[in-house]
Amino acid sequence: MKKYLSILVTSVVSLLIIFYASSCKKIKYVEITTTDLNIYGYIKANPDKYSSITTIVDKSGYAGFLDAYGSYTMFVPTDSAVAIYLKEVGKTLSALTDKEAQDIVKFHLLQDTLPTASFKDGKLPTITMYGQFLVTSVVNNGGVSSILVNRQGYITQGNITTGNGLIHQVDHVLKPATKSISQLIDADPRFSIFVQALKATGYYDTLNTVNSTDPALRRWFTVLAETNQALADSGILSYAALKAKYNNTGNPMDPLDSLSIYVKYHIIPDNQYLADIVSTSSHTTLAPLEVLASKLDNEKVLINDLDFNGVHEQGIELERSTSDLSATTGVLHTALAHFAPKVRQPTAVYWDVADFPEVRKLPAVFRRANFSFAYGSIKDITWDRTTNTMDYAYTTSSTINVYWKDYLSVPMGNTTRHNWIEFTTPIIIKGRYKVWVCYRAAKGSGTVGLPGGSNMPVQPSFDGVDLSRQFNFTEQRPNLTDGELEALGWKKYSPSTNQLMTGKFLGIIDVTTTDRHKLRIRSLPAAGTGNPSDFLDMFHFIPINQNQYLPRFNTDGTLQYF
Amino acid sequence: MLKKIIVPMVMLAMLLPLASCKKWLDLQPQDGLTGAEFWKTKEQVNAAVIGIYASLTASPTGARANAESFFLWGELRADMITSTLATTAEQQDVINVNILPTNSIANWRGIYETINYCNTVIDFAPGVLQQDATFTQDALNKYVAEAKAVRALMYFYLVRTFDQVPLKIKSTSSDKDIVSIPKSSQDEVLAQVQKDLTEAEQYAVTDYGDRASNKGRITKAAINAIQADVYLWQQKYTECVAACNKVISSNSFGLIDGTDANTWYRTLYVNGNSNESIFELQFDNQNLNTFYTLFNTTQKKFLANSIVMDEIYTVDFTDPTKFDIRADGAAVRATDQLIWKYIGLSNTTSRAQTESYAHWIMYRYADILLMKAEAQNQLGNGQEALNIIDIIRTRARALVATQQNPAPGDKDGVADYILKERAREFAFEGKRWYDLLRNARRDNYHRMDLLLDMVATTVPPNRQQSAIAKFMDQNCHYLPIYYYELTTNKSLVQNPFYK
Repeated sequence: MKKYLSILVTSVVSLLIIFYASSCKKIKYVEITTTDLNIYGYIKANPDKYSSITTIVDKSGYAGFLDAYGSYTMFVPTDSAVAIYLKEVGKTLSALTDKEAQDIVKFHLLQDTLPTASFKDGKLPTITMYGQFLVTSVVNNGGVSSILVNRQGYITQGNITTGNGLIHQVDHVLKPATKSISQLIDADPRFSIFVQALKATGYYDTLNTVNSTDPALRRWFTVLAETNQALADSGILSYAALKAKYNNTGNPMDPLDSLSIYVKYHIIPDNQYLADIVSTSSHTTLAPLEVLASKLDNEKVLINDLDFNGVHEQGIELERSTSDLSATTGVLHTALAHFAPKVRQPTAVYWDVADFPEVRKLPAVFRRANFSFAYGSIKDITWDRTTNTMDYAYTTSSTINVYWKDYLSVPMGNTTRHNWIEFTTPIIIKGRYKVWVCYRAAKGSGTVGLPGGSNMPVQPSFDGVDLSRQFNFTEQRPNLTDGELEALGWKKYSPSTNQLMTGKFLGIIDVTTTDRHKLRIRSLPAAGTGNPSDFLDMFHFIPINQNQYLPRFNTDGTLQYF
Repeated sequence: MLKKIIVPMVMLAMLLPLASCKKWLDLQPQDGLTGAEFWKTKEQVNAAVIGIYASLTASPTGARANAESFFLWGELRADMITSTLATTAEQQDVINVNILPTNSIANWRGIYETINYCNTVIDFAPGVLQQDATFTQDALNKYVAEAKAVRALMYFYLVRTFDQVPLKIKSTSSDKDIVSIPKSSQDEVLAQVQKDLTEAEQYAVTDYGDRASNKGRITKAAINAIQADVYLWQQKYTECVAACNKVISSNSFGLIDGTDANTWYRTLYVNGNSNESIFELQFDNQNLNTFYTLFNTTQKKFLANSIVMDEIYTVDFTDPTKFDIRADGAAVRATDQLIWKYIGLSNTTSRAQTESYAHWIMYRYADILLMKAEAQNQLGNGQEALNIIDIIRTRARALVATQQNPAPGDKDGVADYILKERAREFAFEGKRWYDLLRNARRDNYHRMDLLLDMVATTVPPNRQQSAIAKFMDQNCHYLPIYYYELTTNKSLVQNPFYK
């Protein structure tokens, strides 16, 4: 018992000692995982350069979230930059209101980490918290190139990594645009005629109002304004002349009036800087179903520089030095020539699918030999199976009378063949067309014209909409007169009497925009597994009011008009 | 019973420390040689020199292979390659003129490794004379000449890529040799390059007695070739012509016959070490290059730019029997734009991964001729330059479409023609960027337009204007110093463009 007592005493005493010892010195636990500074911590830690902006951030009340978890990019103006800014606005640091401080910080802050390597010529991919985009460019001064932000401040030190984002130090405070597109146009005497057209058609107000305070919901506009000189070059010397040329209804406010359409054709309903404009080849405008084509020719940005049926139409240049002007409602560009929606008559497109730029680059193959193109090696033809090839084929067979003696061999159907193939068409002028497929019928097994054997039914679609009729590569045209054939939806597209040379009517389409479109052929479940037997030669898009069965296409490349 | 076991065990345990005692005091590494043990025989000198060449083909410490650096530095910023979906972000950033100091393509580690191997030979090989009586002064001079020439070539690459670099000409063989060296100016480095080359030329070998060594090791002709290239870069045209003439008058080299395109391709590129070759890096089935993964697998990093076939070589659409032998099936495979030069086993069949040992050609006779043409043109002998271009074009059966007829007195016109012919002749041989830069910077950047026009086509449209403005800054033409070097060597100053 005594033994136990002593043990008890000893343990109580030692426990007391442990308690005493532990409370005597507080153990320091590390409560943070990193000592890296956050954005706010970084500018606060460098008061030699950033004391002014620190004061502004403090005043704005945003110090808290700038020192918390997140991913931001902040353009941080130096003390001298802030001093210049204050002098411009005629204020002192302490006289800035909370709202002003908030606006400054918001315009310098993006909710994303954007290193300088991600900057392009034009707007940053993320909008500022102020609700306007920042624009970046690179400018060379006396042999030294630096990044210019919003045409206002140079980045003097970039990509400073902090715990919650990146800092780019700028030598000027960035100021948001204060004018709307309309005000910018109005203020520039070079646009004195164009602005009257805007006012007359009511679009001055559309471009003048910020239509939502929420940047996520705001609709932006891009205007390609024509200078007076551009109009004068086309013989339009005054607004009266412009009005006389286009105003056909007498009321420019009428959305169907040509002057209204002319103005709408100069407005893209999106925020498109030149860098964005050249990144895609066509842009929808406010004019219904009228698109602007764009491209980069060396350094020039050209609008509507197109080849139509082999005829080149010179494009309209957008002047770089006076374009990319940011406004509260979007962006303004200067067009150096007059342009308007062209009235084009629908024209037939006789499209030889076996003639595309990639095969033309192979003179030993083009109209001379067979060749299999790997997936991805043809820009305008794509298909579902990356392991399959697109087989260009050449033939001198007397029973295969294809145009130019070449065709695409497109076995479609079961698990290993093409399930679908999608073509990008040549430019088709908007209008109503009849679509024809031209092929040479064949069967891997069985006899063409008799039941049984191979089967390869195909569903064509145009811009994602199935055409009304299907076709089957194993089906030949009936042996009838042209008139009878057309009535039944067939035609004899080759001068050859060979019944296998088949043209089949696929349906009527309404081409809504003058542009390149997508034509897809998709195999139907009934397609068999027999030998590949498919000779895809051409597609015809023929305006509905034109002759559908002439011309005919010869093996030597000539056309026959009877 | 228990004692019977314990006693012997204790005795055994006492013996154990004694056994290891002797080894314990031996400080020599068990798995390698130390400097004190090494530089003893002429065979070891030979091994060290061969090691220099080995380091050019693959880094022993895992840095990027130098041959790959030569390709990346020579082509990535120029206009003949294009990216794929598998191109790395760093490679794409170089193409887009968005290079940051953290981009590992700017890491020069492999080159300085080779330089250090050269330095080691130059510092320690002379000591072997005392150790090995069979080692002669003559043999020593030859080895040192090889090391100096390779060192000169490496520094030449460095100044063309980084402008100013630290000039380290003493070996780093122990910790006390690690010093922080600041950058030297391009002129200082080139002066050292010329000095090394002149010294090397004096003792260099003309014939090692076997073909692989004659093409794979530094010969007198190889030194002359490097000299010609350096003189051209320094705009010393008379000296360049003299250096070229030394190679030409040696009568040891010629152009491989181009009558049969496939034979020509196999002789020059597939088999390598041809009569045209002057110096090439010898890959073999034990020492594969990295080009298979760069150019051939589904993960290929680069394809040929479409302008290679469309504008540089062009195609005769009317007559397929007329074609430039350097184009389809040699430089590229036109059907899918593969960079064929290093992955083709013939015009049409490709190498397997295990056969990826196409040599990297540093200099060949065609290069000597075209360097001479370039120098002659600058000296005012435009006609002679045009004659040389004709020789090159005739051999290659160049198409009429790529023929230009500048007046012999039109210096810029002839220079442009030479530049274009060099693009055709040396496609993907790691020369294009340096050719463009050399021509652009001539006479105080008289031809800056060459670079600006080029970059306008290589970057994506939405970065074009930025890229052009960046290229107007001459510092942008050189890569940044890799951030790691800046943290370890505090004496280095970053290229101002990348600050």
